[in-house]
Amino acid sequence: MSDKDKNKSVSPDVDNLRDADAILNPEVQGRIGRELRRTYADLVAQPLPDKLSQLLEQLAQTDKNKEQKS
Amino acid sequence: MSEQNPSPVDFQSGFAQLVPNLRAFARSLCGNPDRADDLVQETLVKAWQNRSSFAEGSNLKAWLFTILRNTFLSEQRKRKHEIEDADGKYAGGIAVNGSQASHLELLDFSKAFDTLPAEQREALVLVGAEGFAYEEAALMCGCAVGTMKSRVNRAREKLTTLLGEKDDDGPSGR
Repeated sequence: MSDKDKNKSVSPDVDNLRDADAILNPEVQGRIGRELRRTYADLVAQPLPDKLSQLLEQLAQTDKNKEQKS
Repeated sequence: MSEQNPSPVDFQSGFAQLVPNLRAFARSLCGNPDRADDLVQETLVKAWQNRSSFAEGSNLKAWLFTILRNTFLSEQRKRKHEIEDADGKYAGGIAVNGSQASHLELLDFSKAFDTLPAEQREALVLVGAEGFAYEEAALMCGCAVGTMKSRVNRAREKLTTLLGEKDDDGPSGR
């Protein structure tokens, strides 16, 4: 809501653009989608730092201990 | 019987498998890699402590992402005066190591992405990269579905403007 108002006062063009969503350059739209997914996939593919793998092991261990006790 | 009994093994393996996604989401939210990993660490601990409150069969990724998001926001509030409006300061926040042929293109995309407000980056990642439905993303962010849609739209418009201008050798046919 407030966002919309903000846009209106700051740049009225945005609203025109939104109405014209269908004519946003489809090539650019496709490119945005592809690059977003690729950039994100690269982040997902990064190896975990040691501190996080260690934490996972610790947590798993906690669980095992608990189960054994109960 | 096994359905009634939430399987710790399933939770645990699902949990571990989703850590890379949590990291990517954290990076998209806060840009700074170290801070993102701290955020993930805190999220994992919280999620683990509260795992009994996870409804088996519901969306574990959405559940974890919501915890991460809430952790991010409360931290953000705490640090607010320190890092007031850090948007856009993290050049290369979501940048990747440049092994691809389209390195330049990617960097430009990342730069453009970093200029978006945090709530739009978040919306774009949840819907566009993670593939959450608008309804799910709206639930996770505690906003109306229409708000989520308009955030995604505004993000796409802004990126279209930024990236479309750049290689405007195009379709207008001249």
